[in-house]
Amino acid sequence: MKKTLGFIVISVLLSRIMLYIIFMLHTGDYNIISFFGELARNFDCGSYVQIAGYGYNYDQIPNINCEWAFFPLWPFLMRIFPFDNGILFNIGIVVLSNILFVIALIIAAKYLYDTRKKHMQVILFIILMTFGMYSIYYSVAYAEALYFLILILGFYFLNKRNYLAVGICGAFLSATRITGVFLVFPMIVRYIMDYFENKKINFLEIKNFILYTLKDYKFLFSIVVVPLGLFLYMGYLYEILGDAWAFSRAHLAWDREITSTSIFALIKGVFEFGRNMEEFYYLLWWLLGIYILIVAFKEKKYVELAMLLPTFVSPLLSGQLYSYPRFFIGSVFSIIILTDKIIKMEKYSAVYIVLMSCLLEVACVVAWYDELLVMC
Amino acid sequence: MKKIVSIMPYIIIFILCIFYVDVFIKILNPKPINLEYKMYFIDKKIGTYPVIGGLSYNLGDVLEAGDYNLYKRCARGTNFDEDNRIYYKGEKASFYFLDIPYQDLELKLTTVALDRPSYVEIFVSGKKIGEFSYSVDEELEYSFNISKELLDENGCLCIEFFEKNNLDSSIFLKNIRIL
Repeated sequence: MKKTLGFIVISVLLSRIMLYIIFMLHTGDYNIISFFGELARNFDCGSYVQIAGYGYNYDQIPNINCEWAFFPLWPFLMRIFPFDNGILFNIGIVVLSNILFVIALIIAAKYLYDTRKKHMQVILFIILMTFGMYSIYYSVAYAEALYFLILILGFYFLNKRNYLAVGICGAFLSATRITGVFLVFPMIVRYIMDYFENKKINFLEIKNFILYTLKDYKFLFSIVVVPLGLFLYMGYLYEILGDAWAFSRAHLAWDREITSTSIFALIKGVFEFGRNMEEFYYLLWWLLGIYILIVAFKEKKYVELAMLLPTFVSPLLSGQLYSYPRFFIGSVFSIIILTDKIIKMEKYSAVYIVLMSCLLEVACVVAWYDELLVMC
Repeated sequence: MKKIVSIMPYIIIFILCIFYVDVFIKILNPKPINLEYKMYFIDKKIGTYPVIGGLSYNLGDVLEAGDYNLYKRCARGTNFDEDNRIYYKGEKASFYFLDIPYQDLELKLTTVALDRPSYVEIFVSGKKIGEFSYSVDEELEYSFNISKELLDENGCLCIEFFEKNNLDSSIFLKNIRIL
């Protein structure tokens, strides 16, 4: 584990140096402060910063971006840095995001050693998370690193059957992003799988299971506490805007054409290849998502599948297709399941996939600096 | 004592569930703090989010077609082009004005058509208050009375235009003013 720890730190440092080199080559700007500014203010980072600076105080600041779409835990953590000092604040929040990411990678490595027991898979996972496509989200002031940390911590405890700790992680996770509430599903799946291991499923056993669960107050409390972060935030939104569902409605104001088209946009993507590449692009991600779900099922990773399935379905139901790649990379288990598959491939195929992912990350980084909407 | 300790977790679970139900009820019954929010996000009446206080109107202000100040008052389906032609999908082109004082009002319009003359009917809160015509390249001014009974209790005024000839569901407006 010591060697892995060193590998994590070196990988994160190297990948961040790479980000800076691409920044210099692409923009011609050598100023490190501008570099941190790009990582701290582009796209939704600006909204998080706005919340960190002014709170959800919409009577006093322009609210055209509808900042209430963004959950409060990450901007709340940002507030440890002085907002008045813009440079220090930018550097502070980017460094914080990266520290959280390193901690998350360490816990993820421990989780992988516990569940997969393959050193090469851990190394592969770390490479994809630090250099792979869309991994830039863990370098910037998005909530992705925090979400990754709490999510993997929750699964680490779930693997140890410490449901109370998982429940508390869930409460924080649902205060970071709406998909955090889905942590209840892997908890339930794990619990059911553990109970019915070496037992036949019949009416009597199901009845016993229900009675057993009702007596298990620790598990019940853990389940009930998971959505607490989300519900507290909704209660707060009701107080300030009179609409507990405001975070969901905020997307209306962003005028993204694709938002209301949902799954039909994906189907349209097939027929509009060449004319509407945006929808086709999301279709490819969606297909990769389906592939990962199938692999997770085949590999019998039911607990992880229970988290992946709702995470992949929710952007389709809400129509937030443009966030799909971010949800994909953000739900770290998609990468873990991919490594399950890649590790079994021939050496050259595996290297080719990893290299392709790293090359595409360069395109993602450039798109980030150019503020292309595909990266938002 | 032991019994109380064993019951405590269930009491906490019960309290949390009550809290969740309470929030659920609030989701189903939103009480937006301002009308702009309600009109855009909940009723989906207007086409752009005008921010809090964005639809407020001071009597006498002249709103030029093509300006954001009029554009943000457009109903969903109502839109402008670069020639200040106002298109509408659905039945009418509609504009919303908030914080209108409860009094009899006068609506003043200046029209000029670019490519074809037509007739337009004007409605306020669903009731017809008059009609006007416009001709090509000639500015015409019109004035209409709006009875205070047509205002709703929130001081909201909805002015709607309907192209009588039904040529292409569009009207020409140069500017609009309420006195």
